[in-house]
Formats: sequence, structure tokens, C-alpha cells
Amino acid sequence: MTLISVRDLVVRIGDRVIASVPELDVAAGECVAIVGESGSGKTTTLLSTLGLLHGADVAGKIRVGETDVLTASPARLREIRGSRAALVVQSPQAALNPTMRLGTLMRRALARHGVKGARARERAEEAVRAVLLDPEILRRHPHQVSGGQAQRFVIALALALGAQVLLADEPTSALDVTVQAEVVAVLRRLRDERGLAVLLVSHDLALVSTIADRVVVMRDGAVVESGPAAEVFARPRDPYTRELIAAVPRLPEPAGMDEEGS
Amino acid sequence: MTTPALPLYRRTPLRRLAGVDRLAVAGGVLLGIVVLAALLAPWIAPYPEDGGSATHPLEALLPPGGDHWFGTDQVGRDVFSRVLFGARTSLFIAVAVLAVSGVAGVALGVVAGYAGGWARDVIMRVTDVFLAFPALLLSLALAVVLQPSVTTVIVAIAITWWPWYARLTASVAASVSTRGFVDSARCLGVPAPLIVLRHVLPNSLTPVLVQLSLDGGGVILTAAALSYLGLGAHEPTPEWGLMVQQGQSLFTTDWWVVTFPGLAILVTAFAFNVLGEGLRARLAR
Amino acid sequence: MTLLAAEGVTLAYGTTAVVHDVSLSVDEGGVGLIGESGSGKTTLARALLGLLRPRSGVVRYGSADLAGLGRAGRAEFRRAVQPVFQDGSEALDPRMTAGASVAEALTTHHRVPRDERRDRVAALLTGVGLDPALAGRRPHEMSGGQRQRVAIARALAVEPRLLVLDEPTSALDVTVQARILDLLEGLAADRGLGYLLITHNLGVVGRLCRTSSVLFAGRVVESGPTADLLTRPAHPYTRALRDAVPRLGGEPPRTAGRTEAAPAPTGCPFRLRCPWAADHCRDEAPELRELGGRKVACHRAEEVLTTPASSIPASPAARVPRDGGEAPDAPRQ
Repeated sequence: MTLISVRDLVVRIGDRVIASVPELDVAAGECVAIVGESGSGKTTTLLSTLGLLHGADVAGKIRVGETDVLTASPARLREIRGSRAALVVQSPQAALNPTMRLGTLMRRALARHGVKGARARERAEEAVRAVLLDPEILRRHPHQVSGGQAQRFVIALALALGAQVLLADEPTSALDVTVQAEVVAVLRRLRDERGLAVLLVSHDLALVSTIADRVVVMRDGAVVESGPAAEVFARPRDPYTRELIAAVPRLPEPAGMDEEGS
Repeated sequence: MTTPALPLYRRTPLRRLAGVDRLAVAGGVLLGIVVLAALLAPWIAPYPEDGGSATHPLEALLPPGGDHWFGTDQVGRDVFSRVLFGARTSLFIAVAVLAVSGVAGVALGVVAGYAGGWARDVIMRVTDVFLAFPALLLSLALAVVLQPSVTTVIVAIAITWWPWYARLTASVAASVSTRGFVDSARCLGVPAPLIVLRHVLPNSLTPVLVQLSLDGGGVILTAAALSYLGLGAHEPTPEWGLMVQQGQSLFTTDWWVVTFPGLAILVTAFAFNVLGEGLRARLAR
Repeated sequence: MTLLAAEGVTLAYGTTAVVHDVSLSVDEGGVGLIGESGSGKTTLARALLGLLRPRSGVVRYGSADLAGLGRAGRAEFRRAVQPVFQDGSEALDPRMTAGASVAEALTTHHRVPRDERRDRVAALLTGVGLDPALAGRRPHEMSGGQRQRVAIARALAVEPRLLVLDEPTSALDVTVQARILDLLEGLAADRGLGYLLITHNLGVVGRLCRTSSVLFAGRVVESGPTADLLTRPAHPYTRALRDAVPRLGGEPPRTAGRTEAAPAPTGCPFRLRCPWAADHCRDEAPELRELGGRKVACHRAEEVLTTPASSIPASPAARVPRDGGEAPDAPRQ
């Protein structure tokens, strides 16, 4: 089932086209990554799928679930962002009210969707476990958790509200590699076990290659290449994609440990 | 850049809605008029000699009219001319106080903020002592000890105001000093005084400049209060506070003697505040 | 030859020690300092740059104690060792043009006539691959990569022998990252410039550093030739860092136990995250010891070296999801 569908998207500021995407679909249980450098239009594309782009002309057709984003009422858009689709940003701590415990934040969000009491607590704890956090974290304030924990909590919040679509904008580039690995593990798990549709924006090709099913490469607002991830990484057609791939720092392969160990 | 869809608490930019820029411009224009009045007083005042000690007993306490727009005072001087000349005194006091306390406060604050450690502790404790006194009370005490005069007013107010600038500058300078470009200059071996002058000071100045412009009104009010209490400017210096004090007993019969200098104080203080507020909102953006 | 060295250095902010008894020496071959945020790597770098006095231990420049250097010695040290910070927008004064920033470095130790200054600045900017016309721009008018190049030009202006690079590329796009690494590699080859590279990303140390040290909770847990650490890590933490780096088209990165578990206060600090942790690790903190050309602080290093990826034991956190009884309830730095 296609949960995000974008057709003939053209985003303009004045006369300048800052993003143009002919076709982009994300199905349930699938991760699609938009790859590019700053200024490539990747974040613009992501934001316009949620109707979050202000001060720009957005033309084309964008569907999230059943809703046509470009014609939907503001109230309907808010509802979608609140429950169906959630945005995960680079520094989530700024989006969390510092005076509230994470549990309180979660409870209020659930209450707005009519989930209260013991059922709300259950849902909260279940969502937190789903992102591999200890439910103990619900007793903490935002400043008492690490960046990686905050990132996963924001994902849990979206899950508790029943999100089926995650839009992640450079979700790990502010994190240590070890913490980044945890966030990637969580995203993979949610995609595989809960059938979430994940639209990921990143400049880190190595990271993208470990999670994305399909890849869209953007440069200067235009799509230069797209296709199944394995295909694109193994046989890049566009010279720019090749340049991006060549730029990934290489680690030497682990020495023949497996032979030694066995 | 990005707007998270999840619970997000963001203050509505009320100031922006209120048209901050227009407000700041209005404050600037108003203040410009006051400054012009002060500069051009000898040429635009209808009776320039009334700015001093002239007396015209026969024209005492004339109500506002064609010859005297704001009426005349007890000794027959044109109140409009004296209000114009009074702008010179008030603005001079304001500029002098802000310059003296601003320079002293910023200098001490930037040193405290950059040096940290015991230097910061010593400077901050001294400012705390000054801040512990109510400003007006300390000015009063000083003005009593010194001879009443415009200089006394300036010294008295400046002494109570610099600690605010020192504290503000110290906190800004302390955070600027932790930034990479300061570390980079230290690693180059740039001498500390040069680091402070070249990097810390210019990058710490903005909030103090805003505060200074916000405080202009406060200085004028305080100066007027001191003069009103007889501790500042004295006859025949045209000073708004002094004029209010001299005219207050006449308020019920000859209202204009008090009202026009009082309005001048109000307008000028307001202009400073609006300008400062506008600057602050603009820089916060 | 050792340019700069830490000998038993302990560093503290107030009463909290963040670096414990660390020894490290930096030579022309390049040295990597690897760890997560909060591991104390940046604090250690500040001490090596002479910005922070050690609580105990000695920082040596050549054979001299940094704390005991006279005015001339200090000036020489300042010329020889220069930092490049993570983000050029932080390391450049926002009110100065690129040219002024570079010129400041040029004129700090030598008098340079005004007309000559412009040419030298232009030459330095060209040397790091920038158009000299950028000299008139302020930091916010440049891209991240350009700012980082200006910061490097500024550091090179004093003709240093060693650059201390603190996450020099982690704020940049991959292609820009690669170009900055190319530039640094070229500078090392052309000028014999040495590097101390501080990073959490093992992917970048291989190119610039012959040897590396891994820091966990303010202690060196493993050090040795970079190639050995990357291919055959002997400490579980080094291995976790290595396995967390995503590889193009490779296996998904492996999670390294629960990273939020705070360092253990007794015994081995890494044991709460360590898949190999045994009872012995709780009772006794491992000392750094020699093991096949490297140093490692792990009781079970021999097993870590030989365990194949497929049979790494489950980490303690994974075994006990509600663990946390021992981990202090403190936020990570």
C-alpha cells in the first residue's frame, strides 16, 4: 500500500525552482531515502510532503494516506501531522518542552487523541519499548536524556499516536556513530515489524545504504538518479552519484577473524 | 529550518505583530526631534535670552497664547524657550551618564568575562555591592555630599548605573570567550589584551548597546527627579525636573508652568524606550 | 620524533575529573584520538593545546613541560601547534572577513608590511583551494566547506608542525568532507605536517593517522597502529565503534550495547555495555597492557581478538532490558 505519493512536484521561490521531483512513492514497510548535499532540495521535498513549507510555491500532487496535502484544510493537515505522519529532525531536544517529563508529554499528546488513563500508560510504555528504550525514561526531563535517546523518544511518541509514516530529516548526523547505529536499528525494526513507511533524508550514503530499499539522488533541486538501493549503489549511472559514492570514507575490511575463530 | 510535527511550544511573535519596526522608527523620529530642538535651541527659541537668567517681571505667568506658546513662568520667561533649552541639559546629562557608565561598565565587564576566575569574582562582588543600594537612594546620598549641579547629577547617576552594564557585559563576554574563535586566537599566541579588544569586545557589544538606548529614558527621569528634589541643576539652568519643581505650587492656578516641562520629560523618556525596544526586537530576530 | 605528548595527564572541571591519567604522544605520522562525545577527547585536546592546565601529569612540547615554558618557548609552541575546530563558523570571528582572519594569524608573530600581507593572504587561500576573492567575505557569507578551508589557511599561516583537528569534517557534506580530507592528506605529504585527529568516526582516521588511541570515559582503553585497531580491534569498545560505522552496501551497523549506560564507577568502566563482561571485570579495573604491538585495557582482550563477528555474545543490556540498577541515573554529557 502506498502511503506517500508525490507526482510532478515543483517547488519555487519566486522564479527559482528549488526542488523538482517527478515521482516519489513510499509504501508501507518500505524505506526510501533522498540523498544529496546541502542545497540539493532534499529537505524541501520532505517538508512539502507534509505541507510544512512556507513562503514557497508548491505545485503538483502530494498524497499522504488518503489525503491530498496541497488541497487539504489546515485542520486536516494538523491531524495528519499529529497522528498519521511524524517528522523526525536532526536535534529533537529543541522540540521537547523542557519543563515536562517525557511521560507527561506523551500522556498529553495521547489525551488529545482521546487515549487516557491506564490505556495511555500501556501505549506509552509499549511505544518506548518498541524503540529499544527503558520505560524508566518516561520519568525523565528532556535535558536528562542524551541526543540519541531524545531522537528515539520522538519516534516512540509518533508510534504511540499511531503514525504509519515517518519522515526523517538527517536524523543521525548530530549523533555519535554508536548512537547512530541504534537509531538506524530502531528505524529498520519499525519498518520490518510494524510496516512503517520511512522517508529518510540524508547526505550520508553509507548510512543510507544500510537501511534504504530505494534511493533518490538529488542535486541542485533536481532528481539525477533513482532506483532500488542495491542497484544504485552497485551500478550508479549518473556521474554525480558516482562522485557521492567515491566520497564515502572507507574502512578496511575486518581481518579474517571468522576463519581464526572457527 | 524544519518544523517538527510533534508537540512544539513556540511563542507567538507578538512584538512582530505589533509592527516593531514602525515603533522603532517612531521612537527614532521622536528622539530626533528632541535632539534637533536641543541643537537648534538658540536659533529656534522665540526668546533665546530666556534660556538663561533673564527676567521680565511684567510678563510673569502669562497663559499660553500667540506670543508665548507655552505661557510664561514666575519671572516672565517664555516656557517654550526654556523647554527647548532644557532639552540640551537633559540630553547632555543622558549622553554623559550613558557614556561614562557604559564605558566603565563595558570595560570592567569584558575583562571580568574574559579573565574569569578571581578577577571575575572581584569585579562581580564590587558590582554586587553597588547593585545592593537602591539607585535613587545612592544618587541622593551622593548628591547631598557633593554640591548640587549638573555634574553632580551625572556623577551620582553614573555611579549607580555602571554595575548593570558591567554585569550584562560580563555574562555576554564570558560566553563569547568560550567560542572557538577566541580559543583559536589564544592558540595563535595573540596577547590577551588584543584578544579582548579585537574579538571579545566587538562580539559582546550588541546587547549593551540595546540596553543603553533603553536606559536613556530612565536617566532623564532620574536626573529630573534629582533636580526636582533640589539636588541637581539649579537656577537659572533650564532643566525640566527643576522647572517642574519650581512650578508645582502653581499647578492649580497656572498649570502650564509645570505641564510643558513635564510633558517634555515624558515624551523624551518614551522615545528612548520605544527606540530601545525596537532595536532589541530587531536584533533578537 | 615526538612533537607533543601527554604524560599521566588528569584533567578536571571543578571536582569532576573527565580525563584520568592519560598518556599519549603525537609524532609526524599522525595520531587519531577516538571516542564518543563525553569521552574526554576534546578536553584532552584543549590540554594539549595549552588551553587547559592538567590537574596532574605533564604536557610536553618536545622535551619541555608546557607549564614551565618561558615567553620565548611559549611563542615557539604557539607557532608550532595549531587547532582546527569542528565548525568553521565557530572558529572564525563572525565580524571578521576571511582575509582579516588569515592576516591576524600572519601578523601575530611577525611584522608583515601591509602590501605584502595581501599577497600572502591570497597565497594561503589559494593553498587550501580557495579563490583569493573570498578574502572579502565574512563567515556567514561562505559555505561550511569554505569556512573550514579558511580556518585551515589561518592555522597554516604560522607554518605549524602539528595541527590538532577536532572533528574537522563532521559538520560537512560527504563530498566536502572527502575534499577536506584530500587537502589534509596533501598538506601532510607536502609539508611534513603532523596531525592529532579527534573524531568519533573511525572512517576518517585511517587516511590521516598512522597510530590511534581510543578513549572511553576519560581513559585510554586501546592504542596502537590504526590499521590494527580498524581490522582487528582488541578492546570491545574499539570493536563496537568499528562495527557501528555504516559501510556502503554492507551489513547494517551493529549496535554497541546500550550507549546510554553510564560508565561503571568500579571495575572496568565499559563493563555495563560490554558483551564480554565477566565477574572479574566487575571486581578489578583492567590496566593498559602490551598485546601484540598495541596496548589494551581489557581482561579478555585475547578472546575479543579472536571472536568472530557471528558469535559476539549478547551485550548485558540486551540480556536484561530493565537493567540500570548499577548505572547512575545521570544524563550523559
